[in-house]
Amino acid sequence: MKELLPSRRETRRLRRRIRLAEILRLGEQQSILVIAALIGLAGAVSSFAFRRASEFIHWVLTNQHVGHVASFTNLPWWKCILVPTVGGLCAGLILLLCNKWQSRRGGDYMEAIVLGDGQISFRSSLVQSASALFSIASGASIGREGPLVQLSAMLASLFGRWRKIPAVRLRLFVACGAAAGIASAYNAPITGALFVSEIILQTISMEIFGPLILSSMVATLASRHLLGSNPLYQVSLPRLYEIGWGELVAFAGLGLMAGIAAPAFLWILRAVCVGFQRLKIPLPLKLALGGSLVGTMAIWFPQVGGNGYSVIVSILHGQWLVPALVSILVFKVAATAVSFGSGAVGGVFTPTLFTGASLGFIFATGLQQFWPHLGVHPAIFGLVGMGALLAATTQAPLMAIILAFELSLNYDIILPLMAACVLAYQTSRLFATRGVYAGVTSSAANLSFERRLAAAHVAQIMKLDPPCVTLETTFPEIARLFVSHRVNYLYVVNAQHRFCGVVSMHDVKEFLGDADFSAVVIAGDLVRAEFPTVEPETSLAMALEVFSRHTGERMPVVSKDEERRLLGSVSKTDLMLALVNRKSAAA
Amino acid sequence: MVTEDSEDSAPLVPDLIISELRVTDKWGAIHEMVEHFRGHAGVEDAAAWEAAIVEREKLCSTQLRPGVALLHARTTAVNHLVWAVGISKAGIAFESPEAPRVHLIILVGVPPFMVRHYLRFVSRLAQWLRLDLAQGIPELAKNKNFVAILQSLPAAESAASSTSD
Repeated sequence: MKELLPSRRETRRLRRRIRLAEILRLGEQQSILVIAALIGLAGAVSSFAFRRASEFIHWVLTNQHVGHVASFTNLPWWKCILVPTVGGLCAGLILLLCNKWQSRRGGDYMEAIVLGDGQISFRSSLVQSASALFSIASGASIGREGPLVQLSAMLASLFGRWRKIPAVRLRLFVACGAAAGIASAYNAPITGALFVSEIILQTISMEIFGPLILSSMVATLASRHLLGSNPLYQVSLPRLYEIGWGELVAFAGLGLMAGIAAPAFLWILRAVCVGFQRLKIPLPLKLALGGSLVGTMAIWFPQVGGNGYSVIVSILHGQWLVPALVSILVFKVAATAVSFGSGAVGGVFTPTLFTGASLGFIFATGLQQFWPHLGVHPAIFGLVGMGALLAATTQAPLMAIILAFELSLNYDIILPLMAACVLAYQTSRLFATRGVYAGVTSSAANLSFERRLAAAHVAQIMKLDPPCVTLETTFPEIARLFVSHRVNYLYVVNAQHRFCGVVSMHDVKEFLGDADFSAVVIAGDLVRAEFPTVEPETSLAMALEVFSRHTGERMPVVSKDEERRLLGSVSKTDLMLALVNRKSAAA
Repeated sequence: MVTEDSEDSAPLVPDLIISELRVTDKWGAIHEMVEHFRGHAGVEDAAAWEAAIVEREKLCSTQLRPGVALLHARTTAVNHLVWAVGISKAGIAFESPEAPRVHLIILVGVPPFMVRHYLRFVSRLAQWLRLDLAQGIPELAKNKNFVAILQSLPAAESAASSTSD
């Protein structure tokens, strides 16, 4: 036994570490924040890697280091068709050939957060991202944010699975990954958090919003370090010192127009999607067909290629004549519908921004023609139009307001944005518009909160194998466990694994350096038998009630039978997250 | 009312000193020492206390250092911390017949809720033992003046406390 005793130096170190842990008080919530920050960092790095990979494939396909619009402008007509066709074919072949390799575990991050257990298949995500790389690099009219969010969320899920994190907390980490993906894609930290809160979780509770914000913030900081710190759409707009009634009415009119355009835009996307589904040809050919159609349009309108970023920038700089922009808008919507409908992996976020910016610009130019005294600025309307159409298509006005603001970092537009986004959102609801992300979230809402709460039990959120000791465990071993596991209570079990009580860190902390204790004090001498427990069958509502009378962060889960065997532990944070998730899913 | 943090400054004076234990085996010594507590105000159920000490001893030996054992148990059989010192000049076989014999037995009973108080007590006691009896427990236990030394424990305890602080 003597050789097991810690040295004086070791006990001093243990004592210092416990004191430090007490000062820092790194509880469950603080640990979640630390992990959320790490996920944000991983999200930024994966986004950076994806961008670079997509640029490389674009160079391989076109032999050019410029954006999609410039590439299509420079390419001969036959190459304009060939590049997106080959890109679509490769993207489809990857999806087809790797279909069997894909795991049965869920592949979609939204399902993993809202409906699933937070587990996202590594292989499926990799296949989807590889396919998206070819579609995006070859000029498909889709956004990068889809694969960026997927990759970032998958990394969070991988981390959670590696650390055996319970499902309820894993969902939160996957949500943090998704927020980091959006934040790093658009250099927009608040939008990243709001995208997940408003669209996916449909709640802004602090248990969830805090980690989301932190993850988004770290992702944005890291992205700025890697890619530069300028806002995505840096335009110098005239200052809006005073907004008159006439201008306000004009912005409201833009909101109404976006509210009407959004259902039409979504209807076109879904109709083309259905059309492609009816085609009885293999998936690679569908994607190749989609690519060839986009390429054909790009011969005359190179602006339809890619996600539309460079065209948005030029719109916001007011460099367009309305007839040309109308033509491009029509073909861009068609190209987006064809890319989206053919099954290309990607998002429609940026194409939606393009459509909104074009609508706003065209609308303002029309106003200028008929009411020149209003003095409207088309670029400002373009920016507000982006937010308004996004608010209506995603059914998330708050996120749309913040995104348009973060994209330009122009605070002057906030009031017009608020008016246009809310009106666009409300108008689109008159048409019973289902948001672009409505599929997953609406199926989750089919279950009522009460039903979900009644069906939820501690077993679903309990963590297996909590740190525990036997009655015979020596004092030095107890001290080491307290330091290594950062818990306030160690559970004590007997030889049959029956729960006997807990050893409290509060009881032992001042004696950690006492060498005499090593010889005579064991866990059985320190155990406190009166400690609340729950059973796997205990409902979450009942567990919450037990927690309300208990100051600790965790409670042991014991078997219901006479044996009262220690099965796991449940944490207050996981319980709160589970309740918030269930409430938001039912909302 | 006795609470978790009460009696911290109480002098380290044993409730009982048994100057010569008759028995020479561990279980017999426990029984003999507990028997002396029958009728003691702090002990509500001597038999239950003895059973708790035996149960604790079976989990892990409480031999503190060569010649000294600290038999202890947290039990509802006592209503506050009680302790006794037993001396055996012949020595008691604790671990095995070949192992050094125990000449000084300290018997402690403490209510279950007094975990920290119990730990502080053990800490102070162990420190005192280290400071004042380190020169040789067996020799000291054989000394006729040993009882007098034990009765001067408060002074020794205060010295130990000042060192620990």
